[in-house]
Amino acid sequence: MTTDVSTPHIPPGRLGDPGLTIGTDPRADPRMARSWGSSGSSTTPTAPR
Amino acid sequence: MGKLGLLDHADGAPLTPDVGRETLLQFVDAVEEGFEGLFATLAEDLPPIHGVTSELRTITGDGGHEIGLHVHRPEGVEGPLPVIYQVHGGGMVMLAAKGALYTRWRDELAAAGAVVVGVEYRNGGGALGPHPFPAGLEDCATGLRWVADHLGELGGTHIVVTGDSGGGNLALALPIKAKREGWAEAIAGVYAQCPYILGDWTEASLPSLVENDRYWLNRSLFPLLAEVYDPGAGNAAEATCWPYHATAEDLRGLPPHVISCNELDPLRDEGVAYHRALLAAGVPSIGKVNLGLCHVGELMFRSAMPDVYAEAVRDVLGFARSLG
Repeated sequence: MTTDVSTPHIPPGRLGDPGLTIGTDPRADPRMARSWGSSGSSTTPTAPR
Repeated sequence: MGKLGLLDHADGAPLTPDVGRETLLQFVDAVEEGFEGLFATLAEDLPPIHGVTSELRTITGDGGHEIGLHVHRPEGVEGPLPVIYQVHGGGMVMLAAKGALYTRWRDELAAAGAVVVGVEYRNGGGALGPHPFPAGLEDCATGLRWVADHLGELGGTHIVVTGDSGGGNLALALPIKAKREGWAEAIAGVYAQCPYILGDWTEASLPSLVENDRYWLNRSLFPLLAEVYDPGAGNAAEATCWPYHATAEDLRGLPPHVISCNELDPLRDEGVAYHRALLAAGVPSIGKVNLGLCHVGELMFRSAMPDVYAEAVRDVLGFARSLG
């Protein structure tokens, strides 16, 4: 094990990759991410339809 | 895009804060309907909770209006018990204590060994509105003082205030208000989850507002809700409206706090900043960042992440017990 840092720092989330979503951000708990896609609701709370 | 429409980036808000109050209120109505639908879906098929009773008490606010208090308590548990005073989320402008998400949360806390009181306060908009700041905070304070005055009747020892998101705002504002008015001794501690406290989100002034923008919550939503709560930003610097702006004098001498933030929440960094402000003012505060969770994820996904939900219950109750 080495303490040398050989990989460049990438800022987390959309700071480092604006294309990330809650479904693709590797930090997301995968159980939570799956839930967003499988609850069977078409509700989107941030904008009226 | 997932069936909730939220695996991809959440939609941008279709309005700006200057569209006019009626349009904003209609927008909040639609957002509230969406949130309640989401929470009802997530609450479907949860296992029943046994051994908890609940009742609705009604008290009278200063304006003569009714304030509902949802009181939950465990059956067959020797008391007295800590009282958890629960303030629901919704940006202070929507949702209700009687909703599925919050009824379940109170039942779970009560089953774990607390008397839990959820306050049905007036919202800035939506079905329980429109009542801008400070109406909701006043109702929360009236309910809290009633609980303090009836602690023996409720079988309680002391009161810890908890709230999530907009409820976190109100939970943090209550001790500031109580201190100014001379009744801070009613509050033994405060546990705020993902508090929504900054008050001005027109600029991305904190990293998490960019880092986690559109991870369910869209930053562009916040200024709209803020305008409904505080029309014309007349209280933009008032700590009981937007606790992020509390001064050291506002905070000094307040009871112990827990500020619980979530890693993937756009609001994460305002909670972290508040924790640091508490410490700087000499207030005992525990700061937490729950890895991998979106805004209020620990309350939303009881089925998918029962261990995460259970940890949230344990932590709130453990904090309450620690102050007895």
